[in-house]
Amino acid sequence: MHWSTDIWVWIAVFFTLSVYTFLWKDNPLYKFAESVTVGIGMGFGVVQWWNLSVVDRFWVPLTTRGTIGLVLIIPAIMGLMMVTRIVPRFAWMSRYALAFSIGAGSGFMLPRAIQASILQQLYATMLPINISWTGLMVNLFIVVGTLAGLIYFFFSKEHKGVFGGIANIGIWFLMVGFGATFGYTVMARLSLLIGRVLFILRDFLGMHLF
Amino acid sequence: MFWKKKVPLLIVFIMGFVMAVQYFVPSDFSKKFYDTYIDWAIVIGIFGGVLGFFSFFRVHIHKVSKQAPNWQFSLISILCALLMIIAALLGGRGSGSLFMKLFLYTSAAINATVFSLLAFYISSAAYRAFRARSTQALALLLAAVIMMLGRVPIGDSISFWTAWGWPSINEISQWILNVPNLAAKRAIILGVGLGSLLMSLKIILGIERTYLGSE
Amino acid sequence: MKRLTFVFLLLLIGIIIPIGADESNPPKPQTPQLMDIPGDGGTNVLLQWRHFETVPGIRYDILRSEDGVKFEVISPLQTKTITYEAQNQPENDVSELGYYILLQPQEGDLPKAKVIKGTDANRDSLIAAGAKKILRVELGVPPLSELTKIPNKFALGEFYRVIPDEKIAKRPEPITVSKKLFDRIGIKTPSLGNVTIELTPKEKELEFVHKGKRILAAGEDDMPLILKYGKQIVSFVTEDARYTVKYESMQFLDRKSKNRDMKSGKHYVYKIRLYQKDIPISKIYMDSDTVGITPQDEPPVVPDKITAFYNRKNGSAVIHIKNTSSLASFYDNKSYTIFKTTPDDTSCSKGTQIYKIGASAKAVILDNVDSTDVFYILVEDEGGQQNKTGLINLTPADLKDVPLPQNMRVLDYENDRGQKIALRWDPPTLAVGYAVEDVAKKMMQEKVDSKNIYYIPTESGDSLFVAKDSAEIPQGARKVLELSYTVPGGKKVLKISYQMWANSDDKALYGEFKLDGKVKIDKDNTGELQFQNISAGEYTLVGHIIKNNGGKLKNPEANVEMKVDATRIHIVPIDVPPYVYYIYRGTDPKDPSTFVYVGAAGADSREYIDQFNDTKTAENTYYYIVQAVGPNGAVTQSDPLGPVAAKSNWFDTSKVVIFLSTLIFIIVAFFFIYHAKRGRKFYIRPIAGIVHIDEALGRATEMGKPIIYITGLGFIDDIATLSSITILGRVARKAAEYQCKIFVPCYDPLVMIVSQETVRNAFMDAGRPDLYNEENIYYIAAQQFAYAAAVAGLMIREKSAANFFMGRFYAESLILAETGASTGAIQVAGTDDMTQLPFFITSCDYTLIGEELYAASAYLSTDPMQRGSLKAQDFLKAIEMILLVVGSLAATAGMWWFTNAFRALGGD
Repeated sequence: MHWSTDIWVWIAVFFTLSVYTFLWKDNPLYKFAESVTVGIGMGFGVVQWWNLSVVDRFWVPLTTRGTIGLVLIIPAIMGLMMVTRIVPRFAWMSRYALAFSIGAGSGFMLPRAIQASILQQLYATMLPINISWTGLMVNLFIVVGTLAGLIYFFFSKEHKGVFGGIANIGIWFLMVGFGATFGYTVMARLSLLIGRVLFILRDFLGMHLF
Repeated sequence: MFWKKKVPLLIVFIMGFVMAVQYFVPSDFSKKFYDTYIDWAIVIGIFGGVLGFFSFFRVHIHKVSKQAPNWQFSLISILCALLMIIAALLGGRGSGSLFMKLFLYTSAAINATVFSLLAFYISSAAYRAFRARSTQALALLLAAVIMMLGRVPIGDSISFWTAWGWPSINEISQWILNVPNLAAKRAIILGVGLGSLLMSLKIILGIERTYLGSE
Repeated sequence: MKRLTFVFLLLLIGIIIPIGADESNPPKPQTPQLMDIPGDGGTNVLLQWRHFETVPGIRYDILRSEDGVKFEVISPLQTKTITYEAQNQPENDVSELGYYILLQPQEGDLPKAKVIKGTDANRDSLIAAGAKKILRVELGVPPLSELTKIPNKFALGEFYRVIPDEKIAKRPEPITVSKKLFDRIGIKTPSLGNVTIELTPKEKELEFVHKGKRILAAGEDDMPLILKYGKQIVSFVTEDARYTVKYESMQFLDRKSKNRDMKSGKHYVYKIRLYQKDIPISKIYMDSDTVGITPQDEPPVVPDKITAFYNRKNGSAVIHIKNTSSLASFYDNKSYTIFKTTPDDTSCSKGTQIYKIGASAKAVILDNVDSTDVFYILVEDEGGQQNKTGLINLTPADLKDVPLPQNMRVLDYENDRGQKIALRWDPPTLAVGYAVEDVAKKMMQEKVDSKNIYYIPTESGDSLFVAKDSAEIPQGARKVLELSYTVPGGKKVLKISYQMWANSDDKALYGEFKLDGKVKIDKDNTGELQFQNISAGEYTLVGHIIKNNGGKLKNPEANVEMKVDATRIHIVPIDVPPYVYYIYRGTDPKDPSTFVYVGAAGADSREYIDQFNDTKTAENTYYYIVQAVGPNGAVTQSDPLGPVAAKSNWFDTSKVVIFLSTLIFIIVAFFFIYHAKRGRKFYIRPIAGIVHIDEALGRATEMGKPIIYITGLGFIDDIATLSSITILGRVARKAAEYQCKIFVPCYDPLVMIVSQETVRNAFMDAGRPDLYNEENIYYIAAQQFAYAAAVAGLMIREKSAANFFMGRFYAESLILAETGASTGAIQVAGTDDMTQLPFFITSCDYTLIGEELYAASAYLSTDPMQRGSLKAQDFLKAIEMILLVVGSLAATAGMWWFTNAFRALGGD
């Protein structure tokens, strides 16, 4: 075993272990780590916001792109109006910027969502059901499962009788689907823990066991 | 009244309509309009960031000044934020600078650790799921177990029934991923997609106004 | 609070302003060398310099001046990331190895470094010559404080510190050889293909290792071994100085552009600036020495590779013109004028002009020539200067005709912004290749060290032999220790790879193949298909191209029938004809000199898109010429095609289906929302989740503990967040009625503001405005895990009785749900994200799945139009279900035109 001499590694290990103490119970160490991450994260956000957004995406184009750049004053004014949200008396001014962003965002999304969420999904689900392994064990299941799922999410009719039966099949498909997602994610989550443990063993304690 | 209510709704409608139409118009003017919109949206978003920073400092300074419970931790948060800003001003943002070191060895380490807590939580969630209160929960549980076994070599090793031509656990897990899981996803996407579309339409038509705040 | 804010701001400013820069200066950056690019009209200058690794910096700026006094920055560049070396690594101490460094001066450049091992015989002469003993080597860059302790010098050389490791050298080395080598020595391996053999270590490598630790110059010994056991040295440290030898070549091209002028004949002075610090309040940098250049407008550079053939078949000449220099793209050559002259015209001053073409031309066809004719080319540049090639003789050849593409046409590219012209031709072709592979092949390993097989690599080819005794083993032979190979498993798999050589007019979608009664379609157009588990035998493979209407393309080239031999493992690649098509664009069909080369297309394409950078240029009228070039040099040229001009389109016809769907969607939505507004009542079935919400609230009241409502990580325009806020209104109202405390920690400031308003209004509606506490609805941080950590802490501290998770969540969902579950709180969740739903389902008492969240918010809302929109959603869902059933039936019946209509290949 060979302790690290790098103070920063010690700091990272201290915070790592502080967070793990939460598994036992809430304590001042965890609260300290929580407040540090909130503060450091906010400071990081401010600095990156200034350099990557304000300077790179606003100030530089404004001052170097001539007339086209100067037009950016208009959204800048709208952005400043957005900030008035904080002050209740002037909060109504922020609606202009919000209206612009959210209105445009909604209009932008409308046809694209029809293409991606509706038409493409329908195309991918219109599968041939012929007498073969693929036709019966794959395509048929997918078509029936999708239909049953859609019926489950149908809110205009109560889940009774035949309709209720199909909706029940739908929820079964949903549950199996969720179970698959759950199992799939377990391995990924375990690898995160392995990553932290390896950091402590290798970088901090200098133990190269694996 | 007109400026406070009607004009914003008019802007929403015009922008929504124009951006929806823009998708179908490939002309040069349309493309330039879209590029300008993106530039403007980024600039507006930049100022929106100010709201976040202001809210953070206001909340924590308020807690400190009022000596609310755990106010000391609010003070720590404020000092850490200021420390980062000063570090960037003095030493720059390059790799190896104090700014980056502070971020990597504190916040990034803490975030990674919190993320890794998921490993513990997923175990307790799995334990909770094992107590399957209904047949549907049992279906979820079984699918999860097959999925987990199917992703590691042990799944193949314990599939003794493959000798009789039956599919192995790995193959079953692959089928679960490609068939019922896919069907469930499609059903949700088709439904949620419709919901999002209706919401977009309601926003454009001014029926949905929650985001604009109270009157 | 305001005073406190003010004090903090003062503190911030007070600390920032009085900042002193630290006094250390970084080493000076190397002076750049300038090169005037020839034949470019004097508009390009190349700066090259060396960046030595021990010259730390964050950014280079290039500065230019016209008078040597006032400099402006013309472009910033980045340096590479510097790898700082940890101090005092023991292997870096080489004083006991006794090496010396000697600098050999060079004219006009840095000195060359030579590293020599000191012996008793040469030590004195080395010292007398000025060599210095090397105490330490550095493999990385020491911190700045170390760098500035001793003087820094720079020299050129590539050196490595070699520390051989016998353990690595003695490891057996696996290489792959063909199984034929084993067949030749009579050893049968049931391998499918190649065999991997493990060999004893190379003698040469063991010899290298035994020489021990040393410093080697590049090329002084076997380079692969030097790289295997050595690390490149960055600098040598002697008693008096640090000599840095490792550098990276940097370059910058200064050229005439919209923002920057460059004129030939004008003098420009350059220097480079290396920043060590570049922050608003402190900039530290060092400038190199200045260096000047006067770019010249030299005469044009003549093409250096000209091949000319006389085609005996048709009596024409073909001249191929090429510039092989890497700087060819800078040349400002404008035109080539071809002169016919006599063999005695060695100065190329006489002759008759017979043809003039643009300088981008790659090939020229001259008709009515004689095999003894001699030519030369006059090259003219944009500035009017001229240069000539030497005499060009024709080489007689029988050039096979190269067919031109069939049915060539030029047209405005559809559905674009008016910056593309399409050149299309026929026929659409299905090009098929395949591979027959073994299924379930196994990896086998076999130890063979007792069989005395030896491996000898030679220049003419490797070989193996079996030695009966040690006397037979030749020099350089290595013993084979182990074999590994794959063996066949029985059944075969036929892997088809295909290409559809078609253009947009053909509307080709994907390929369909039939083998032995089985049909496979490549619906996603991946270009690959497999027929699994086929027995060894001979088959006929039939392939078609399917159009978007579900039918097949009718021409014979789009329908393929080929024999497949599945008795053996082999690959048949796609056969692409060896032609290339050169495409030229011009403005006058009668004047070839107006034509410029715009691009090339292979024989496997059926379309060329000429893309313009701006609409204005594209709107002019153009003509196109195509040259088909064969592998032997034959060229066939088309007549000019056109005229054509690019046009901006006002409606994208490929998005018709999306447009119609959008219209239907809007009409249906309008219908239901309108009727809802008029007062029509729509039935919505009870949603179980709402009962659970009320139950959770009731329990919180009984226990006298607060509730926590989490709106998730979405932003204010997110549908899940908007639905969550509607439900929050209901929950807050109930909380007010039951006098329950409610916490709403927020991820986004706008969501916080709207949540505060919603909760305040709810409390007022319940008649309990006194209970409203704005501090309980607060902003945490816009970072995922900082938010999760803070909310988890809140749950534990406040010991909430009920937790609500409604909105958009990501990976933190499990942390929140499990933490809440561990406190024993009753939990109700609702999200539309498929990936987080499983975690909520396992950890919460009830979960609203996907649309149930939207339905719940519509159900709880007092606005009738919300119900109307939910009804519209259901109606459209019913349409979706009908389309799905009809579509599946159509697909089963092979009516692909119906399903393909939904393919909706729209996109920006």
